[in-house]
Amino acid sequence: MEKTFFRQAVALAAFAFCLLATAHAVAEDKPYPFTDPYKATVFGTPPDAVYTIQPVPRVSLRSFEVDSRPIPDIFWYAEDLEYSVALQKKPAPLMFLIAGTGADHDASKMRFLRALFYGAGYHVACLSSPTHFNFIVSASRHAAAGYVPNDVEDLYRVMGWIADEIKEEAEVTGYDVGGYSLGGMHSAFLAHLDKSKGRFHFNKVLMINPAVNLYASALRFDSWLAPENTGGKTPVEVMDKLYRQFAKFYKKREVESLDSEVLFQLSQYLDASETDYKILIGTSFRVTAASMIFTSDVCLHAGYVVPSDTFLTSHDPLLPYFTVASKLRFEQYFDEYLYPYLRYLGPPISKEEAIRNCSLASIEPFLRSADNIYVVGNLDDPILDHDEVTFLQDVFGERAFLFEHGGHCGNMMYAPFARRMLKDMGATADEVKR
Amino acid sequence: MNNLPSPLMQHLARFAALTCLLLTLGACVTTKVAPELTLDDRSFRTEVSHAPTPDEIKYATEDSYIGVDDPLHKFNRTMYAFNARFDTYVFLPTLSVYKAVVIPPLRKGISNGIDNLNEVPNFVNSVLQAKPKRAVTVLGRFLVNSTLGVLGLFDVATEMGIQKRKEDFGQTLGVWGFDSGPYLVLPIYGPSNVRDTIGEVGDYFITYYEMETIYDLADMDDKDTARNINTGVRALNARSTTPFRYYSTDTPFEYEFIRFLYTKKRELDVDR
Repeated sequence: MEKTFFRQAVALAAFAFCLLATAHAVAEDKPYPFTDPYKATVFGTPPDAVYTIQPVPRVSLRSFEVDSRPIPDIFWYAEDLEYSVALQKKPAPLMFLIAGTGADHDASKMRFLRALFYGAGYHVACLSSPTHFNFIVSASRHAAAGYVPNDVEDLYRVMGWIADEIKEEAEVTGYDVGGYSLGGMHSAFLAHLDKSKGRFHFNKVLMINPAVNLYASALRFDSWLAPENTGGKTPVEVMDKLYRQFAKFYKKREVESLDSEVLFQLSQYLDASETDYKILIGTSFRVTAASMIFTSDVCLHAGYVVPSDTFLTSHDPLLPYFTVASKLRFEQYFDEYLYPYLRYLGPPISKEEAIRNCSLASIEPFLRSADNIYVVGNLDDPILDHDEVTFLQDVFGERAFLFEHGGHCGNMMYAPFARRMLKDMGATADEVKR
Repeated sequence: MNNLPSPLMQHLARFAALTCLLLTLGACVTTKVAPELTLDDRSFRTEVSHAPTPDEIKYATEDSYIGVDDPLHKFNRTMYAFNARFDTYVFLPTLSVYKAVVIPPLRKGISNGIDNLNEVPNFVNSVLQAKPKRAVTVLGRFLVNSTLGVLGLFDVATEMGIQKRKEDFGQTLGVWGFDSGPYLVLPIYGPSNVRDTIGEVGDYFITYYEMETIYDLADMDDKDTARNINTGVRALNARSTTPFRYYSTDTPFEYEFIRFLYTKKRELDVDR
């Protein structure tokens, strides 16, 4: 009798244990909620699936001012190149993080990565993308962005300055670099540049959802806004439709702030097609591109969207310039502005060459041979076409890990994605488990 | 010679000490000499120009999805830039002192307490907008938080599922049919419009009488000090609960975007 009871108890305990274990496993491997790559790109990761990170105790915001650099009046606030660092109290490697297209050093994705790698024991230094207005105004050698070799030289120079600064106050045992989106592509080029310059000798290089060919990805965004692809609707009509739905949602849910939880509810509420989401992403890319183009044009007085004899003051309405700049396709910017400027600067270069220089293919042999460069991304990343995904798999082999779903950076904060990034960086088991 | 400094000297010394503190808290800037970065050659000109035509400039507001009529834009832009500088050099440094001195749970308590005091204007405005259901909710929140929430220091009501709802006099005027009037950037306070500015004055009076009643009930001797503390703490709390930072939206068209978003948000607030 007693024995039976004992056996029952053991069985029950074993059963409970199994249940708990499965529950635990389920909790860990809860699938990423968006199988639609466009939705994933727009809405990111819902709060309950985000990898838990500890906030960084002290983030120091700093900046560089370049002596005698001319700063246009309307950019008085962008005179200093801002960046941020989080330093360990003990000797540690320094990880540089490069933001994605048009984003600054303190963007929400950057804050996540900063906390992730700080938590794994790195000193972390965050840099704005060279395509961000602050970088163009204050520290871009040619005050124009989008030509990867030049942008990477600008980044490399600033990283050297940062390393010099940090050396004074913390012990740095080595260097690493990583970035997402365009910043991921930049990271690979930085590693390549460092091979000849030899300043950092990076331990590891992490490319998160990288672009493979900048020009091709930008053209893909633009194609989503082309009249033949918008299903007979104009982007404004689509934006207006989404706005009306949002207005209803706002009214009904008594929303007070737009946090990630509310955003997730919104993602379930909106009735939008794949085309609608593509238009939303394409439009947002246009705002980024327009900001970049306008900034460069104002710095150079090149006369592209602002007449070269117009000196804007902080009183002038900028809306007309936004309107014209946001109508420009990337192809136009390249053909009418960036490429002519490259030819003006010399040495002579063909258009095909210039485009190829902004593609990972231009440094393919290096990427194949470097065994310290890792890729974490998604098979359904909408900025890549099939051949580009294959390129990543072929060139990086085992060093490329691609999730099935997640869109473009949508699942970056998703726990398995974050753990994968830590694993690639060689963070210790403890840190990976946490 | 008098060894003891005069009150004026004491005051100046305190001011100087505070200024030094604020300056050291400012961002750390390093100047770099880099001759290759001085943009000496700026003579490149594009062959193609997309510069807006005079008509495109004239009808920019009508032609843009984010366009908002802005007859006072010269004043507004000046004020926007002033506010950004004020934020950088005065408001945010003061805020970091506040954050360094007041521990997070206490800050949360202060924030909850102020929210609770603001249930009074929320209630008045709900009534003025003839929204009885909302008025009852607001009243419920006020009663729960003032009692169970220890004079509003804890937001028990939200935990019980009674959601926070802000109703201000600007919204009330909107419900009564007043047009928003031109967009207006107020000193320090930031984006507004003519109607909401009048609304702020209305809410100011409601809050003023509420606070005076509280001072009377508490039988306070030094009401001036209480008033100053109230104003200061409310300003610091408002800034610390607003995550917005000037020029951090990744676009040089920030003024235009903020103007659009503010206007749209207020339309929705009046509408619901």
